Amino acid sequence: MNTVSMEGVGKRYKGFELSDVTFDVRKGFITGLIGPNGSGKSTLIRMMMQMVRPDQGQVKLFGQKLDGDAARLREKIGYVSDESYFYEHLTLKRMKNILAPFYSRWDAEVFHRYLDRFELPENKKVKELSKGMKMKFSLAVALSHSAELLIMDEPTAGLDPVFRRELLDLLAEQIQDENRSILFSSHITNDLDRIADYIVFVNKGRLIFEETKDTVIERHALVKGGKELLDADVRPLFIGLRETDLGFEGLMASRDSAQHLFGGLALIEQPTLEEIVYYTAKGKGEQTYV
Amino acid sequence: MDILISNSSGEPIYAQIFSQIRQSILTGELPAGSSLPSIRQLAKDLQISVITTKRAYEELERAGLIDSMVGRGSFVSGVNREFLREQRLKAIEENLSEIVVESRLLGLDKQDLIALLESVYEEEQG
Amino acid sequence: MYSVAQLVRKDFILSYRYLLILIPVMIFMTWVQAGSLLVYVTLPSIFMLIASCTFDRQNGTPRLTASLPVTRAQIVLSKYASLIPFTLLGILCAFVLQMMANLIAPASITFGRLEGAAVIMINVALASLYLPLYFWLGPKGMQIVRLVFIMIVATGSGAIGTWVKESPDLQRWTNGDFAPDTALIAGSAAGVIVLLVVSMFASFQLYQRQEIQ
Repeated sequence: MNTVSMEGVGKRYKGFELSDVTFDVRKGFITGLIGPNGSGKSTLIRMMMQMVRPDQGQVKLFGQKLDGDAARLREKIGYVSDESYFYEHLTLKRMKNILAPFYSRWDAEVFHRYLDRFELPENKKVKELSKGMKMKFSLAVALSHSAELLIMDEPTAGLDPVFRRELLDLLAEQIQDENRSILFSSHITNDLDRIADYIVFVNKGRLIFEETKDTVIERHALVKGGKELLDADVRPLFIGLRETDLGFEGLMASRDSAQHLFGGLALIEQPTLEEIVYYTAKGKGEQTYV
Repeated sequence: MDILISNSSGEPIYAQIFSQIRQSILTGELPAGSSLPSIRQLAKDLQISVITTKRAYEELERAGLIDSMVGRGSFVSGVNREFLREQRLKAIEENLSEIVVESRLLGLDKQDLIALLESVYEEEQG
Repeated sequence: MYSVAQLVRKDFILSYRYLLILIPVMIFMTWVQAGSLLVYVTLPSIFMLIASCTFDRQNGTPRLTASLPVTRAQIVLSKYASLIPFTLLGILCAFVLQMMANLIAPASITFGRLEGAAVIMINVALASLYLPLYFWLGPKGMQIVRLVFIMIVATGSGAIGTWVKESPDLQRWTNGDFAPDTALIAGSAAGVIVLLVVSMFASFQLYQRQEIQ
């Protein structure tokens, strides 16, 4: 049983459409939901939180369909929002006092340990915290009620590089027992990708792929070569292409076909996740030929 | 046991873990029966994905170097080190005979090949 | 029910401070003899209710309550329930101020039982009008509604208070000096209850469908 199953979900807004997105968040693993700004990541996350209802398809959490108001399931979720939603005029202590009673498995000791670890002063008001500190507070709350699923919407925004690295250890600690699952979304590929087991890539409201990160990286090929290698037959085989006076650089979905086409003629490299996202979002830049 | 991961070598991370653990087993640094860190602990320590370390362990298991037991973790298997060494020697021999065939095709004689080997050796050491 | 109680507690923690701001206003009202129960009860309790609603939407979205393991129905119910402690707090304020005023000048403030009932009904009616709008409108619309409500409550309670003080008939009526018209009381009570039920139903329907961005 997967922790989260998105089954063909769709949602239509003015000027934006999410259509037929299917993916899972697997138990005991870290899943990265990546894609450019406005690709639909936050909408997908809000569907899991029942803040937004899908027009088509269904969402399953812990094997249970989200049709009625499945509020109880949220007790098993630690949610870190992209923007702080805490009451600005309250101290962290007051804020905690408001939140704790809603969770039957709230662990005050764990919470204080995180406050210490993140160097968060309990008597400060939320509004006195920096963006990164608010994120840490949000994380401390999310990790203090034995959640089985941690959902983080753009968690690295506002975090300094030092803490981003520390976050890797923190998240790895969470999945040591194999029972917890983590989903994070990100529009920039970043340090978190290092520990992601699965990558779900959405672009313009559509699912591009859902695979283990290792497969994604090994399967794709980054081809670099002279412009004379490109012609009308070859261009369509690229996912994304960048051409300059000095040559081209392009992403292909299959390493084997890249080898077959360009072996010995061009440089064929293993792309980084960032390059895969970049070229997929960019496309072939047809406008240059119009 | 040390495991050092390079992000720029181009070699897949699971393969780097595989060959470094294999090395430690072959040199005897990891004796038969000694336990390896859990897949998740290793992933955490190296700050890489669980699936990557899992794959490395699976490869090690397939190569007969480690045994994994559910709930108990992974251990260096009792396979005879001599046997493993012989297997690898055999692999080297096979590679060498391929090289010899290739060299003949290019018209290189034994002396040329030895000279080539020596220069490659020096390069590797330097 | 436990969750609703926790949500009410949250509203209380969020906005009890507003009472502190309002106390000087109430003392001033007492001093100028404009104090009716409306000033002491309706003003602070509706003010605190509006404040708690505003805090729940402080970034334009009620994401905090939506992230909690509570149903939308519980969230709606809790806002109506929050009116109870806020009104009780207002009544407490009224009694304390009455006692203090009467220590200085005996019998300077008196409250009738009927006035008490009227004030509670007015409170319920105001909340019943405000909350469906709150659960329905976006942040911009809500800003206007909030302003209008605060104006109505702030000026209205003062004005009605003065009006009652200046009209001997009304004053006698509110003090319960002559027999109240039972039909009138029962009628208004029934009206307020109908309003409350319709309001809760509307709020529930509106919030159930709301998308939280």
